[in-house]
Amino acid sequence: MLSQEDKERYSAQIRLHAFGEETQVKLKSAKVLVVGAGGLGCPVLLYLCAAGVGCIGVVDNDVVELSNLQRQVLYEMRDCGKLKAKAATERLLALNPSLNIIPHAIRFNAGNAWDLLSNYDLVIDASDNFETRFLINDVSALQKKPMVYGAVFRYEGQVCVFNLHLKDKPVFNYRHLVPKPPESGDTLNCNSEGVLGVLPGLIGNLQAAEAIKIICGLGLPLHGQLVNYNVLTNRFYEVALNSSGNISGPRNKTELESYDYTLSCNNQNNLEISVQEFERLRMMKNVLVLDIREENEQPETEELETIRVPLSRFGDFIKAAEVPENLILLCQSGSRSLKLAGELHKQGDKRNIYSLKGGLLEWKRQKQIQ
Amino acid sequence: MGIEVLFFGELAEISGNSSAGLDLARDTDELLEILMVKYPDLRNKSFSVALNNKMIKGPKPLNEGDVLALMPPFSGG
Repeated sequence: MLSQEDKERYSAQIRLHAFGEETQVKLKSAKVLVVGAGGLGCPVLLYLCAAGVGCIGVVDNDVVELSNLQRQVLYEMRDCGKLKAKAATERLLALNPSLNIIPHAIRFNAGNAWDLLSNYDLVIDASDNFETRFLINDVSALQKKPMVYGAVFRYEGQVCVFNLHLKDKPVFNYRHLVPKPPESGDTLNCNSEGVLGVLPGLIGNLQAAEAIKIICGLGLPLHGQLVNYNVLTNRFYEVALNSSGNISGPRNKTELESYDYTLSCNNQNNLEISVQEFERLRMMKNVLVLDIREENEQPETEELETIRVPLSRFGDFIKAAEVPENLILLCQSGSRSLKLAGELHKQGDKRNIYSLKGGLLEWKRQKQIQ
Repeated sequence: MGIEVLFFGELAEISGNSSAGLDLARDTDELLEILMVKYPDLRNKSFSVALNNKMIKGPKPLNEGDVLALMPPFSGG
């Protein structure tokens, strides 16, 4: 049922032909999980919240950085250093306090994906890496919940709807578009690659529109229909996906939970953490900070609690020691530690292993600024 | 007429343009091979192929005026 305030707040859309109060009630009872609160997630969240989607989950384990503000329009200067899931929730509740906005300040991974999605009816893929995209797809396919996909690259973006079950129509899966994760180094991310801020804004809005259409049963969703958009030419190019042939991927919950997304995607973007993330993570329990530099390397780090395990002796250490679930590797500039983190993932190490981006030099530099 | 080839994402950088006109080939496989010779860096890239706005799997015959789109996966967000 709609309150008097609801009727006033949503009057512009309730008044629409083929919408009405009953459609607004559908939005009010909808539960949407948004994975990623970055360039795509910000516009998605803003519009779902404004439109009155009753329950919205925000999954992101990242913190707001100054360089995010160019495109991540939910956040303000004062949010820098805050967890995105928390900052986004505050902002969304300020916009629409009657909604149930749930921050999940965790990384969406094979261990938590199933339980997270089981509380929602639809998932929005607003992530920024293949590992998460494949995982979102697989869990949404297994739970038969629609997934609204969006992705950007430089001046181009894509939108599509997967795992939507429509009468007498085939079901389309993200693996129909991308059968297997691309080779490492084959693809690049926004921060290293650059992106025009307005582009994820546009693509995210298209995703929000698709989600609202699916929830409300309005119009034709982009079911197996991939939309490509180029902001420079202002051209849309549509491609109908092909659902023929077998697709790989986990076949049940158990397979999903043991599926190695990190290994199969080997996304370097996910192995690296910023100084701000590092500062937050290293204070947590069950986290071990390992300095993998050789003896006598500069700079000194008395002020930082680390365990020195030189790279040349690392193999023995990792085999012998009781090593906790979360490891952060450090070196001088972050390149040896990133390489090692990648190798450990490749060897099938199931721990969360991160490398400090920019290494101890960057950490020192940022400490001096503060 | 021939065939129009559209390059998406970083493939446009490899070809130097977002589209190119090519002579008619027997089928999509033959045309892709011609493209690989013309732009060798394409060989190292993974991409899907759409013929006249439909994603294809395996070779399809070509006709004058067909449009072939090469689409690499995007992951940014």
